[in-house]
Amino acid sequence: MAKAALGLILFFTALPLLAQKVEGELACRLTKTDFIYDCMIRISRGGLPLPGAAVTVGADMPSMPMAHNVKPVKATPGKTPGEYAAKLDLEMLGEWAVKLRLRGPVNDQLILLYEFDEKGAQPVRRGDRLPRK
Amino acid sequence: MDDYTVSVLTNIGLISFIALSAYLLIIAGEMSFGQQGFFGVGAYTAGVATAMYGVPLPIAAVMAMGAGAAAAFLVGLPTLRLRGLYFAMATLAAAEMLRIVFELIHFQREIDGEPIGPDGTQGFRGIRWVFENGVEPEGFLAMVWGLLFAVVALFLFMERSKLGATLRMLGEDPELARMLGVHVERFKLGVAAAAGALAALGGALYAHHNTYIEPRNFDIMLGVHSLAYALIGGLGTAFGPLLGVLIDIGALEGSRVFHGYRMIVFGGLVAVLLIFRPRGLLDERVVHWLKRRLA
Amino acid sequence: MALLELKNVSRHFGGVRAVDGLDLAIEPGQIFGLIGPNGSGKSTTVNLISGLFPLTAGSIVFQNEDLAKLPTHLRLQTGIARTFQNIRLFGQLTVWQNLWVAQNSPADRAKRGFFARWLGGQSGVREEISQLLEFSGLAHKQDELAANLAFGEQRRLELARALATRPTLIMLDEPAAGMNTEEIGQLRERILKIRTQGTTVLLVEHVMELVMGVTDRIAVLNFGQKIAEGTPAEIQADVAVRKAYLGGDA
Repeated sequence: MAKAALGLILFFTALPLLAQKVEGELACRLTKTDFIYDCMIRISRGGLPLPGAAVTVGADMPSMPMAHNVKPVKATPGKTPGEYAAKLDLEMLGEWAVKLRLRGPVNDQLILLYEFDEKGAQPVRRGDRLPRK
Repeated sequence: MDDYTVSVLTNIGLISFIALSAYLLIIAGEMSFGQQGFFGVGAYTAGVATAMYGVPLPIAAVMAMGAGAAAAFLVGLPTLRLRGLYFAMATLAAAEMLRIVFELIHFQREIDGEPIGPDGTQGFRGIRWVFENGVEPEGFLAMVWGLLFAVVALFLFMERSKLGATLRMLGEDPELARMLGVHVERFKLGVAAAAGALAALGGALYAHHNTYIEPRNFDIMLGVHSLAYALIGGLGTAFGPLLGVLIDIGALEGSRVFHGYRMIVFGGLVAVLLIFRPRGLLDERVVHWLKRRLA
Repeated sequence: MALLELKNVSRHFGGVRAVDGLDLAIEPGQIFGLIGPNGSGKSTTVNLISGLFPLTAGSIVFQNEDLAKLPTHLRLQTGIARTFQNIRLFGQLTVWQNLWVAQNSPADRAKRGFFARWLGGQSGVREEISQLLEFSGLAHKQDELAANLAFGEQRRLELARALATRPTLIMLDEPAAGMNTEEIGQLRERILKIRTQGTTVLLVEHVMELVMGVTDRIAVLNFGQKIAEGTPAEIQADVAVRKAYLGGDA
């Protein structure tokens, strides 16, 4: 009985690891050329950095996803494990759905919503905002 | 093929579904600005089915088509009484209503410790059937184009039949069609439902291609583009809308010649074509001439 | 028993009484002429019978069936067909298809099942359509788009289309308008041939040489009302008719 309980507890604490959710975040800076951003991408699995993935970065405009996108580029591994660098050539400022295609240790796709402005990019957290204009 | 080519070709295939859906209504004489709503219904239905309930994608796609047809039928009941511009406005309003409904849906389920499902304006993440089932991008591309070819083949078959001729009767002179024994309202409702199902099928595939959908994906931009593709490509054959998509996404977007100014070029192209070729490049006359040439 | 009976039929457009208390009775097998000056309500009468718009008052009974209660799309099935003063064809469809889509009579419906009718090929109907094309002298144009036909050919196609619905009554709305003498002669032959096939004809026409030569009975309308009815000879002798056509006290 105690064994079973322990097993269950272990199982539940390990769940996040078992699920091994792949997550990503983005830090971008506008270069001197208009709408070209230097971006650092951090990718983790189950909370731990995920190195060694082949990452392709693209971006869609949320209101015209199939017809308005930028040509995906391959990201290069950064200095720290789980970090990848890429140059994003966006067509305009505003909100973009950044699409990360991962291959290698994981085969997955992440969509990150970011607002790109004159400095860099901030994640969009629509729940905190007023409804769209 | 590199990843980019595969993704452009997939996008061309996906958007062709909604372009064909707009085309189907136009040849029956109705200009709908609301097909994006049914595209969204399909995307959400199929996404919920696969990501939340583990339904295989093929079955989910059929469910999406059913939902799209039902939604289009219900929207068609009141709106098909309207004519021309009023119908266009009513369908746009209906699609915007659907989009707002998507914004209000918060319906999630815990799956592997993660809440999965539509979350209002936050969108709907993790529609990962394609990844979980090891479908490679090339495989998905083949799926999209395989279905698209099947749909186009159906269209070509239909256009040879009396059903196809009857749709063109509705488009050209519904009053005369009525005097020749066609129940105009019933036919148009059927056409609207079929067009809704077709758009929904595209939406279902789109959701699984992108793994993430949000209400804004289904706003007026998508509807206007689908109409424009049908009108540019031509109303004489089902290849018309495909040509329209190919011109915009394949040539303009794919080549990136115009970069951020593409929309301006595209808008200009639409305007010029509507003046000089109001029924598109492959209009009825061109198609008829081609058919005689090939026969 | 009349084939078609109009009783006290009226149609008002705002203050305009396009048709006003019209009584007509057409017997089976007749060629019935309907004449009158422009705007006298001839076309409106035909439009009312074919259901283009509802009656303001009165009743139209065709083969014991009250047409006023019958939706427009069902009137073809009772055996009523028509042509139009301003030609109406499906220009995007070929000549052949224009006849094909008109084959909607109960006899045609019974011949083939629902799916065969809507989705089936064109093989089962070729014979009849060929006959119609032959009859109207359009066989060589069968694959042409209707929009590309010459004026006279379009008129003949309209007539063939009306026949494709297997009508009991065919209404021809100014079929001779814009035709030369030779074409009018051919039209006359066709109208007589249609009658020998057992179809009743309602002929609305301005061209007197056609109306007087071909009809059994004529009604004359003026300002939406019937001012005379009789055989061609009686009508030609009628004083009121002359007045209506020539004005004043001719």
